[in-house]
Amino acid sequence: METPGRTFFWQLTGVIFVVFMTAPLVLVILFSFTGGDIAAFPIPSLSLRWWRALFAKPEFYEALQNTAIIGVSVSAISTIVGTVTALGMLKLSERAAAFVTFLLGLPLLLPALVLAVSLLSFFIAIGLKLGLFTVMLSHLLFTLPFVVMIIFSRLRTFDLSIIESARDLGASPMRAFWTVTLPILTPTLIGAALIALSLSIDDLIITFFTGSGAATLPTLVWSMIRTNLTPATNALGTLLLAVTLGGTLIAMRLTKFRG
Amino acid sequence: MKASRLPDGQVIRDGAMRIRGQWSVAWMMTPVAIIFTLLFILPSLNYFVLSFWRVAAFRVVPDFSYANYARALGQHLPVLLYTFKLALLTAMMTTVLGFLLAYVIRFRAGRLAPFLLLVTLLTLFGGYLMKVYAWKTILGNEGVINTALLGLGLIDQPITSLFYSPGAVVVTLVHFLLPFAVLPIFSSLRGVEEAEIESARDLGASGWRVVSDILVPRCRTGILAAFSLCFLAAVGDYVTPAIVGGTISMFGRIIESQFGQAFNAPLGAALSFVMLFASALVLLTASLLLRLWRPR
Amino acid sequence: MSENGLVRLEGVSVSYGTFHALRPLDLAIGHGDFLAILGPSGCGKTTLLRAIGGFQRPTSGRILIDGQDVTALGPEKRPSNTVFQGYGLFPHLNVRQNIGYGLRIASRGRPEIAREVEHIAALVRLQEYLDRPIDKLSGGQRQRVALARALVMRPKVLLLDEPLAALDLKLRQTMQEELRRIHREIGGTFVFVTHDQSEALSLATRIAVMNEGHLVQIGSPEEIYQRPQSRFVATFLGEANVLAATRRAGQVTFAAGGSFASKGADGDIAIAVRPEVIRIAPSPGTADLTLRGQVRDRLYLGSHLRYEIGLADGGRLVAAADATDRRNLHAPGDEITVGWAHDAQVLLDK
Repeated sequence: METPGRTFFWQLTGVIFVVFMTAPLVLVILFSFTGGDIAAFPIPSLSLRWWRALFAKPEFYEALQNTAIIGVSVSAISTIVGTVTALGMLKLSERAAAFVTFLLGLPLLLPALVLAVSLLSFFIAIGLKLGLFTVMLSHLLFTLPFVVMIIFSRLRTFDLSIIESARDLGASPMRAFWTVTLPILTPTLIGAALIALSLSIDDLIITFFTGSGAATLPTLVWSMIRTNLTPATNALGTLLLAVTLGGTLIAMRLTKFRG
Repeated sequence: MKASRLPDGQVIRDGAMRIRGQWSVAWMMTPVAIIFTLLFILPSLNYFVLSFWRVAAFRVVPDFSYANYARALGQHLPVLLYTFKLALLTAMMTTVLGFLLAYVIRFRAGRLAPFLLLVTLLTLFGGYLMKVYAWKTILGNEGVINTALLGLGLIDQPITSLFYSPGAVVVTLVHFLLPFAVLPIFSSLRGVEEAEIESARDLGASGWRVVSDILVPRCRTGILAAFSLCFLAAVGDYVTPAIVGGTISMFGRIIESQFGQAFNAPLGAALSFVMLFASALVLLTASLLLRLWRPR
Repeated sequence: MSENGLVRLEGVSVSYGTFHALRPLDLAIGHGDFLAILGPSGCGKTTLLRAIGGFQRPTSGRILIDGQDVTALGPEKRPSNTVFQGYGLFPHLNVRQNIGYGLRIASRGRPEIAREVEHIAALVRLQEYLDRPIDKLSGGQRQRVALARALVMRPKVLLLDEPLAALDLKLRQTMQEELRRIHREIGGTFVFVTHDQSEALSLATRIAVMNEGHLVQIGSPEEIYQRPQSRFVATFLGEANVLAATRRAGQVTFAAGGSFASKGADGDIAIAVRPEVIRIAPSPGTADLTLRGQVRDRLYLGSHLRYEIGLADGGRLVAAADATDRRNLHAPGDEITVGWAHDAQVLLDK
């Protein structure tokens, strides 16, 4: 029965979950602004000291550049391929489309490590030089399922009579696509691209193995954690979080994607 | 096939159109098919073949031997079992918590629900490494918990067992896997009407019976998906034990080391397939158990 | 209305913060009643039903069922059962398991459950569908499963939330007959919520009309229809002309002319007249009251003619006349006299 007490209890449970999910990340961000020598309490003063330290590292800029190259190309390719795939799936039967979704989702089920080392072995076997290109190829494997899923679920609820109205008013199929279908889909496509970008930027394991030492932001964090641990790591982590979470947030606004 | 003139012509024309339709679908599915084949099917096959090869003088040599599997199941079996124990614990905790959170979002949070869902989705898509790193700052010797306890005078030495412990690994994994568990269960729960729950209550069911008779059977797919995702991710993770697990040996770390220091890719491949096969058995058992779950 | 009803609500109210879904109200539902709670959407009727069923905790007041105070009890502990608007059937169970669910919760023996389920399935005519999954049933069959699932518990009171709203017109009529038959056969106490006045009139033995969280009138269908106490009830149930009038020294005069004697305090009053009691060009002696007017519009509706008549004060009057009587035929623009009997009109409280 609904009583104020119970409502409060459930809302409190929700709040506890939110704290559990976000508090560790908030701590990481907070410690990036410490004036002290380590990422820990107490924080003697707030300062941008560790951000300056981060921006003074030459390897930061290299990693940033690599991450940007990989992220943007992965995002663009997976959005284009994803759109074509989703449009194709629309013509398939319900069952066939579900099967395609299932197939594409398989790589997500595997532990990232297994995916990473099997890709690594494959690239070595066919003699492909490891580097930014192989990382980009590998990322497509886990960005595509999300992109296809987002675009396909939007297309499925797409009111086809809108296109028919455009045709009825004299538009050719191509013109209807450019003037009606695409503008309506644009927010979804941008959203899907941003999700792909976030996923690509966030990846450590697959990048680490298939990139053969090519530094990206997450691999830089990884090496910083393992070698000299300073709050500069927090600054870099905060930057990564801001990009991936920001991208996801905008994407969800645009696509109204709710799982 | 025989038919009169007019329908015959129509049959041909319909057929041509259908074929043309199929062709265009085929063209549209080509890019994704190429990517999927090139980056998933072929690498997986290659990886499987590799697991039967061997290493000689730091070179991978083609062979057909079960030696890698024998080693994986012999020498490394204890670590596999230990890893499965932790992964099982992680997956069960995450699934239960994920179920609870999904239930709160779907039925109980009211105006808070969209916000809870947003936070869940946000933490799904980013911050993997940061989450693991965060727990180092929380549980470590100079971490938040120890400094707080020291500051309060409750302890005078940092509690070292917080960190570099199986507990730390499990907590970290649960934290980062939680959104992955919430979403599939939540999407199952979306199909459950509030009236179903109210009907069950009306017919005399207690809160627990509603969970066992209605919610769990109605969310079988979601629960299984959540459990599988979490279990596989936990079994194969090596970053978490490396950062917060200290010397704790987990299977992922052993696989990883075959591609690093140990330089034995065939053994790494065999270890991976042993892990995947054993995981498949666990998940199969889980799905059977869940199917057997019938309201009494 | 018996003093000690089977279900008694005493000062029950429900509010969410500053929003009052249900104003404090008293209500007694007798044994064997078939009570309709009728009102427009948002009037609090479903809240009232949910309060009786135990899904909504009242902000104040007490609820008694068969003398037992159930205010603090959850739905699972109340001797009432509910048929939900969306039915709330369990899609993972078949018809038999759905109907038997409550008995299983109550730990009844297997043979007893089987017997009871068969019995109730016969009552709602579902015997042939017992082993079907829910998603293979039509809307009407689902309705019957929901009904059977609640009835098998032999509730002291059966609550139905808009039971027929999801069905199409034909099915709705069939189910109305079915509900009446079932009520007759088991002789239970039924309470149902509806926004459909014709459904309330044809099904219920008593009607409680609600508006804006208030219980505005309760009585038999005839009482509610023929003796509405307020403008709201008069116009919500069927069609009614509400005419403005003033009372001076025991004499009521319509704004549109015409008067009659009536005791009471002086002031402005309202009078409701149903279209079907209005006579057009009444022969002398058949009407106690007459007004002059002009035909504005005439609609042919098969069994009757519907006239819209403009009155002297600019007001409008709707009258229904027998379409088979040639004398009733008037064209728009015709000046006519309309009238009705004293006891056919109702003086409204407000």
